[in-house]
Amino acid sequence: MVSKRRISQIFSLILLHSSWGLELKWLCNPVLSCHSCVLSWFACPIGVFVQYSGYHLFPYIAIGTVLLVGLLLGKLLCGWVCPFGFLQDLLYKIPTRKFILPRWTGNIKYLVLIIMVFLLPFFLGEETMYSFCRICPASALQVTLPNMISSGFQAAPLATVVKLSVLVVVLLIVIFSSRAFCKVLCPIGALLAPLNFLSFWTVKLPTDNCVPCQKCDKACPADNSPSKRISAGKAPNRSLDCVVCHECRSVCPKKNRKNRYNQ
Amino acid sequence: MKNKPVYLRILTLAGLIVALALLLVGSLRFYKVYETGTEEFGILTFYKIGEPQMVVDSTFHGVVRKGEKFYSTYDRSKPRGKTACPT
Repeated sequence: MVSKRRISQIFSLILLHSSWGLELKWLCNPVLSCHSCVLSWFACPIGVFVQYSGYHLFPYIAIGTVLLVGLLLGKLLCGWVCPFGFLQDLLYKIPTRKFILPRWTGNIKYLVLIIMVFLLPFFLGEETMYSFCRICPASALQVTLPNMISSGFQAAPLATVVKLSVLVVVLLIVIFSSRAFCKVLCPIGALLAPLNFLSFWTVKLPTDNCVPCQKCDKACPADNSPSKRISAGKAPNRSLDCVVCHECRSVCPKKNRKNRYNQ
Repeated sequence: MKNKPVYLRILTLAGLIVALALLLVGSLRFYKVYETGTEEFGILTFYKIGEPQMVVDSTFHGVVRKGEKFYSTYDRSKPRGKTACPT
């Protein structure tokens, strides 16, 4: 049976890339979907931040939108809407040996955000070859690869080769490690992560009924150990790396039990 | 499940206000974007574009910054179709 989350991801993939004429590219959608794709409706906030950093302008609307969505939903869009997250979930289903990346690798995405999205474009200009857009795997998949196919695989410049190589490496790693790109490199995830602690959205679980079966830990695609927060009485999504997928809630054997906090 | 501490709720509310303020300020901002190729006779023609249009232009390198001025990379007097960013 297909879960609600999977249905949401499939619909989002189709709906986000169904713009045959009209566009809403003044509006940033905080998921990793390249706005250079001719079918995309919305702008990617990372692309906008890169350009605005190069322009030396403050991106009021882009930051306002990301902040608003993050405060309302946290990283819910990462788990339910992001097309690249969906692709990672599908690739992880390939039966191979799996491994968990060390925790410290989760800090790399903050450096990617600060350096490749803000600092390098600010100092080197919006068209710098060292911005995140030049290595973005979503852009490589949605734009670079189709362009290469339509041009008949003619000799590609070095920048294109680098971008496609990053895509291949990322797609290979996510087969073995769940949501590895989200954990390690995604700058949108880095932007939204602190908002998980503030957002209105809460994954509700009856925490004082918790028996430490750790089914939630095994189900978590972010390898985020939700059982630690649940046993401490906190909502499992109050964590930097949680993608608010609700898998912990789906597998919890106690989820329908009421406690003195649930009404 | 424990409720969010009071200071976090205050922070969330403050964040919401900041987000809405940013959206309001953004919707009221305008930028001068000069046409390229019009500086021949020392006259620079420009368009005033709003922040939403600047966001759209940023998705396909529609504006470049040269010094302190912004220049359009396309003819704004003609209707523009879908355009992909060269990255």
